[in-house]
Amino acid sequence: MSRDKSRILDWFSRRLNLTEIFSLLTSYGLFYAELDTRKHLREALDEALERPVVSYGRWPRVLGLIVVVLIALEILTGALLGLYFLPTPQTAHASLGTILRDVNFGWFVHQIHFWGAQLLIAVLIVRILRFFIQGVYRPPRELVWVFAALLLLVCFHLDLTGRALPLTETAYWSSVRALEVVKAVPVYGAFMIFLTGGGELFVTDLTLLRFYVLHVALFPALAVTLIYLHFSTIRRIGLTEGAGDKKRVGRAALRNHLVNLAIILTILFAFLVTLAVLTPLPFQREADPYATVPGVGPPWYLLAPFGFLELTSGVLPQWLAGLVLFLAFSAFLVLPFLDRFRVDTRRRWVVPAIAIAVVVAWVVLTIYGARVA
Amino acid sequence: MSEDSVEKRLDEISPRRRKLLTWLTGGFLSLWGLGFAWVVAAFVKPPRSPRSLAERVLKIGPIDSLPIGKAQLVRHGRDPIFVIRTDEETMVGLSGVCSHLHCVLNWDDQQQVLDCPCHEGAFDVNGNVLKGPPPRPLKRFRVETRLGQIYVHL
Repeated sequence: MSRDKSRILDWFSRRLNLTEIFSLLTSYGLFYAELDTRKHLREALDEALERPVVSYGRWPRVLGLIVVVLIALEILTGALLGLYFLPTPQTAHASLGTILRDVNFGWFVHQIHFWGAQLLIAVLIVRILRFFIQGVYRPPRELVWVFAALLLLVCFHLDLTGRALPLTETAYWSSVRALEVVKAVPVYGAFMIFLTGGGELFVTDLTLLRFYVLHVALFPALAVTLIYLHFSTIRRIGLTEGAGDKKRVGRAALRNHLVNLAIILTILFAFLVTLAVLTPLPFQREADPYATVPGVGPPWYLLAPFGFLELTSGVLPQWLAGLVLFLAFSAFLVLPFLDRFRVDTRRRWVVPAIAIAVVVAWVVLTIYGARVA
Repeated sequence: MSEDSVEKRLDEISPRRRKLLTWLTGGFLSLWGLGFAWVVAAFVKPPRSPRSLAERVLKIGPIDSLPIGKAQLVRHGRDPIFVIRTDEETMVGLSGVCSHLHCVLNWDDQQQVLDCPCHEGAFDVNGNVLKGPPPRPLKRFRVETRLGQIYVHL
């Protein structure tokens, strides 16, 4: 049996550079090891499996892996949903009804797609916070941060365009609230409105189709590209070590590490299925664009900017509030080039202090945004 | 104590326990994989009746217009359906298309059979083949009476 397997492997490796192909996986964050691409795959793998894992990629540092797995899961469930979903204003809602009621496991695939997206965004936020606190944006890791931040923003867009598609009441009105935030931001807002073909009205026949194309083609392609850029950068220069990492310079071999990852994936799937089964997103009736549903806010991750706009609506002119948002998001993106504090100076406390201030402000604004929505 | 020595000791103390745990983890992941593969396959298979109720049920007409022993050919797209009333209570719905070469059947009042005009095949009121070349019995449809009206479930 094993001889057969190795014969097949040999047949392919004489014709393909299997090691090179396999090492691509490491650039997608699935496998934290460098492979000697000149060697035979089996040999290179055996070598890599016995090598110790870098401390930044070790248990329990698995957020990056969870991100990659969740995105793969989103692509899979998204492709499945696309087999039945009809993206026109007349058919969108009814075709989701078909998926949920008639298609085998349709409700399950839909819930996994929804909850996977929420979890993905949550994990990305936690991860970027970790990067901020550990200073994973100082030279030479500026690009690690920029790609991670861009990935988070692209995932916001993926979720935004996706949750509008079924045209249920909450989906529609929540997207209208979200677009209010988008519109308020100068330059970017105008570009997004232009891109989605929307004018004063939110959903025209064109808008839904464009949301669909952005959701299934453009943004996923961007996300996958960013993941590649992000993880290949990490493979090149690594992450910084956390405070506790120095003590654990032990040699947990990759072989053992992979078992840990298998455990994490099992738990992750169990968690997702639990969410999907116990807290399903309800299937509401179709939205009526002429009857606003009260009490529907933007998606949870946009509550803070929404709250900020509401808070300042009487105080600042709208363009100024939008400009503040624009500057805040830009600062988030180009943070590596703003931070001028050296690691060794006495002002090291400044960065954690800013981190805590930003998180507190975000939480307070989120609570405020949820209350005014 | 470094992790190195802990792991080495674990290997020395109980290599079998370690193997078992690895095997269990792999087993659990494979179960997830199997489950997901099953879900995906079931999802991709189109549902049997994605249509609305109006498209699934065909209204034929009042029951009084169909005497016992008579049959009515219902036109339904390219698949005609025979509704045959065999007695006071029972009605049978049969495909009106011969299972041999798709000729449309005729109802014979005297013999109480469905004749095929093409190759002399014949079916009884239950759709079973009586004679001729048809390879399969006719497809049956559920017939229902509600408030004096006949309905056929497609």
